[in-house]
Amino acid sequence: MRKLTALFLVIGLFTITKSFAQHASLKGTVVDTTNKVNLRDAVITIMDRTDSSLVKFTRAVTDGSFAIKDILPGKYIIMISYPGYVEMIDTLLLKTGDALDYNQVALNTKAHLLQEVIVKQTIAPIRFKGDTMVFMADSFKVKPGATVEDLLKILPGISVNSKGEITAQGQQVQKVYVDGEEFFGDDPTMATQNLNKKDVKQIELFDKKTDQAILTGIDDGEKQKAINVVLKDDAKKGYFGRIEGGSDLNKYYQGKVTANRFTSTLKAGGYIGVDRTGRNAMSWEDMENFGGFTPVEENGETYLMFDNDSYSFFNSQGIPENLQSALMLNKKFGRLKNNTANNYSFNRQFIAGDSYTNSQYILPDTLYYFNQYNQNRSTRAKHGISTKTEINLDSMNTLTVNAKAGWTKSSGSSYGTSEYLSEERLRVNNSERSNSSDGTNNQAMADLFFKHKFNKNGTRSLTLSGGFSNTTNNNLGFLKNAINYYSNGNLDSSQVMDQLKRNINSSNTYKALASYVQPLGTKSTLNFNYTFNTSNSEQDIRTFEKMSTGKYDSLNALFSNHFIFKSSSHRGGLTYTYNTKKIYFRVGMALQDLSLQQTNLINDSSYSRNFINFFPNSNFRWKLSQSKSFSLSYSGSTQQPQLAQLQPILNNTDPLNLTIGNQALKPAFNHSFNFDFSDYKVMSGASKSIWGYFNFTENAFSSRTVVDIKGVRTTQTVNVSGNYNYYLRMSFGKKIKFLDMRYGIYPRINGSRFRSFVNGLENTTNTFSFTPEISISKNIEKKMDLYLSYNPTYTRSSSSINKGQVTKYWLQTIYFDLSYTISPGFMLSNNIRANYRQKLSPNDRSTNAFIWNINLEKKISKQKDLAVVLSVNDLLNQQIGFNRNVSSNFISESTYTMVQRYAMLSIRWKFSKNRKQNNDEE
Amino acid sequence: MMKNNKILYPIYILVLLFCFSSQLEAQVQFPRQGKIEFEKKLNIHKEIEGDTFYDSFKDKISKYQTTYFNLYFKDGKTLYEKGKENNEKIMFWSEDETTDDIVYSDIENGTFTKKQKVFEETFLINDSIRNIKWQITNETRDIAGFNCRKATGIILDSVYIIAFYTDQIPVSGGPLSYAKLPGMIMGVAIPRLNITIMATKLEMIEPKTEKMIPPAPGRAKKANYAGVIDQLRKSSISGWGSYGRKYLLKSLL
Repeated sequence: MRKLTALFLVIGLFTITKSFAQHASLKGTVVDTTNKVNLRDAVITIMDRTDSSLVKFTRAVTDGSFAIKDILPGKYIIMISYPGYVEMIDTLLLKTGDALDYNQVALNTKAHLLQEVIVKQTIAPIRFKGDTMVFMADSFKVKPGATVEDLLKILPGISVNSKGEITAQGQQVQKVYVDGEEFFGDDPTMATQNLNKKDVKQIELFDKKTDQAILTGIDDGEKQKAINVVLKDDAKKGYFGRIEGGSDLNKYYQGKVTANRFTSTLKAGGYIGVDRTGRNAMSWEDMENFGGFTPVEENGETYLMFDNDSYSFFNSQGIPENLQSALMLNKKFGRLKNNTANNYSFNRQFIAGDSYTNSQYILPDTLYYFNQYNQNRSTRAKHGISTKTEINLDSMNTLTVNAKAGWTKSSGSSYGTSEYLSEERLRVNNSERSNSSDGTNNQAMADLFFKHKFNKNGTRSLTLSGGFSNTTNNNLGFLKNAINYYSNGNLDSSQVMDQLKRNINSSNTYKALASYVQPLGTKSTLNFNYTFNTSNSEQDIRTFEKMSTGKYDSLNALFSNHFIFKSSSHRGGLTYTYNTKKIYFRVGMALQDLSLQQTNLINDSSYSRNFINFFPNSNFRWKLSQSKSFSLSYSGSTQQPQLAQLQPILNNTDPLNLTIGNQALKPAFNHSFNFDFSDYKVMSGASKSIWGYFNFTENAFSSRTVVDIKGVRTTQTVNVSGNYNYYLRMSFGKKIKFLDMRYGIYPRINGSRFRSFVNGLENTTNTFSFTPEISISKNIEKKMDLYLSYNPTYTRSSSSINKGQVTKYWLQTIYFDLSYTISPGFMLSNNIRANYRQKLSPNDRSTNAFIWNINLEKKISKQKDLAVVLSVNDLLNQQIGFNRNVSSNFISESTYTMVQRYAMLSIRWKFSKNRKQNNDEE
Repeated sequence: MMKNNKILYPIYILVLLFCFSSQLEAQVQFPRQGKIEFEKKLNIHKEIEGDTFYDSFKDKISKYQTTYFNLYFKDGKTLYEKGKENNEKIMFWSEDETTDDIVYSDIENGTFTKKQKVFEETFLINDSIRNIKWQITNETRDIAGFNCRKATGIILDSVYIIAFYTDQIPVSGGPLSYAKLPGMIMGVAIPRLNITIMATKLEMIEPKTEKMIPPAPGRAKKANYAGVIDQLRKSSISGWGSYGRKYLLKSLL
């Protein structure tokens, strides 16, 4: 303000006359003396002298006169302004009752003002980098908290006027970049006035080509002055990560280390995790940090894809030993912000476990029992690499390369026994088998996409793509199997097998795609696409019998074969999309011409089939309001039979389960209808939604199973009609105001009809279940989270084959979650899952279980980065590894090894530098 | 500057900065009625800074969400409502839901009526124009051809707001219900919410009289400002953590 007053020319005299009013007042007339004009509409502004805050203002009337009344006594600044004229600014001291008369206030046009600019210079380090002049920011001293503008003002050769406009070497600066990018719009002052000087490393001054020249590549010789503000590295570089590990000091452990480093153009990270609990998979947070999300835009809809080459580590059966590791490097490069994302991963899993399964098959005239014991050990190790690189050739053309390769080694062994009993519990057959195998699997694939935009916003575009993939499998294994067949409980015959199996198969696939999008007006688009796909695979299975010499060198021709499968398809599609803020509508149809061929190289025979497949689809979504929407969709698709269903290859891996082909198999056609209505009232917290689907299949693939007198099961794939399934879920949620809780009612039903053939009889199984779920939840920010849900499910199942038998039972499940912050940094969480299943007969073994997991976490450092966690898995040791599957003609129970109770003590350390944390985190 | 091609300067409001005329009238025109187009920009990249969810595909999201509004002014009354459509869709970002809001202000009486949608609720807010302690600075800049002076203030206890007003439009109004500066507010910036609302052009048209009326209540819930704050605080938005707090501020601008 001092500066303002100093700059000021005050012309005009004023006299003070006393008046009797309590408050002070002032008046005057604004004129342009040179042109002898009264300045109507001139603004008279009164500001507080201490903080220049606005107190009062008025405008001069037609004759240029003005009057302001009722001003409280005090120290003020008065400013009288008129567009194009130099403002008059003066200080003012008003006492009670003062009535100030300015008489004539004369303003001068800006042309009359002689500007005197004094530039203070500090000689400081200035460097030249090519044509660019570089000022080192730290060498210029400014007041604490100064902005970039304050810095610019003292740089030699640069001046900033009151409008924030920057002049450098006599020319006006047109653009201000921050780290080479435009900052907060195109207004230079946004950068210069909002950035703190202390974050600035250097100021670069250079001549920039015009945007036109950059776009067209034609240098028109025109240059603009531009400034680039380079921020200090530590303002945009950083790292973060986590180390955690724990053990129960006995047989369970898990640990994880993640480390990430980032700069504005680079992101690199490493991840390694080991466990013997199966509960150490990548969390959502890990996935986010690892940067593996890719947004996918398809037909105007967007979704996220997580593309990470890891396999499922969640195993409910057996005790796993897992190792997962990954390295990642993402980098942006070039002026057009090309992007490359590269990954390497190594995963190893060992799993061991035992299981017993007892099954009962119920037929109208008979029933039989099947009991099995299995012992499994398997190891799998996989190395994987992947890259995804996006290159913007120019603003209209983009090239994307996706490539992936993986090398897997696996080995496993299993030992098992089984027995098949008749209704009278007499032995029909029993078997003992052991199996071991070692194998490798190598995979490689690459895709290349080229996208050309015909217009700037990309509404008219063409995408071309080509790719290949290759898979090779090599497997060597031993199979020993001894089966005894009985008749009336007496040994009838035996079958012994001791074989070596070598299996090599490989497959190559090539595909090409073209897709063109044509906008129809601003709301509709038409998409044409064509895909060609061809694949060639070879399967070579050799079976050798063990000879008396102890060597496996006699080829078993029946179970050895060599096939070549060829498949090629042309698919053309057309999709129309209509998309506005309220309505989204899509309708499309695709047609596929598919040919399959299977050639047997051993007996030189060939078999081929041709199919025409249809893929209609449509989707309608109506966005009624911000939080209310309705959608309806239909999709239809053809499923063609697999070659193995048409003409299976003889396989004796399990001689008690045989498969035969069905050359008359027709393609199945699946119709799927979906609807969804949701209405969430944010203000009142009430929600309503209904969601449902109905699927039915014409010529569905089902099975015809025949069990012969020896207990050998033969299965063939057949077409059936009338199969369907449906699901309907309603949800109502509301707030209970006085308890500050929410409750929800979620009734749901689902049902299905499935048709198959058992021993020549048609069997239709109808299943229906109903769950009227209710739940309550309460959340106190940073204090407590509570969730309780009760899920009773009623199931009814009947099959036509056993008319008298209808299975009905209740299954009740309770979920309870409570996390509570005892004191800042000290958190207790409980997680309970309880299951109660109605017994169908008093002899049934109970499957009831009450699984209670507890987690106690205490932050032990001031920065809250170090925490000790005590977790108890299955506190009551009720995880019994037991499962029962019941329908009216089939009952199966299995018991298996699984991770049971353990208490684990872990330590976790989180570290980070320069990483903005979300406010909600901790 | 890059934006220049977008901004139209109607020739009839050309300001004669230097008047050497000997005529008795000043040559500056003071529009007392007309229509100003405002461009509202939300800097999405700033909004998602530090949000790991967006980190891996930040480049694929537009830097700004742009919407347009028109401010009609006549006889000391202003009406602020949605302007031209911008059909741009931004991935994983919801549309600006304030575009359906209408603000009618009576500058002389210092009152305003705002029809505002907050999710499923529509409010008709009747209240006096917010008293902001504006601090006038000596900085000026050009917005849509008008020389504007910068003033700063604080709203909602702690939200810093920057306004640019011009002497040359003798109506003390502005976008939304920002007003009471010695001239029309041509630009507003709220750095904490990453929002700028800047005038792009002035059209010297006479707004129709039937346009310059408060929005019809319809089924809207009548309230004053304090009432709306109270209802928002009680709603489920308050349970959304920092996102909820930000949403609350945005609803109260």
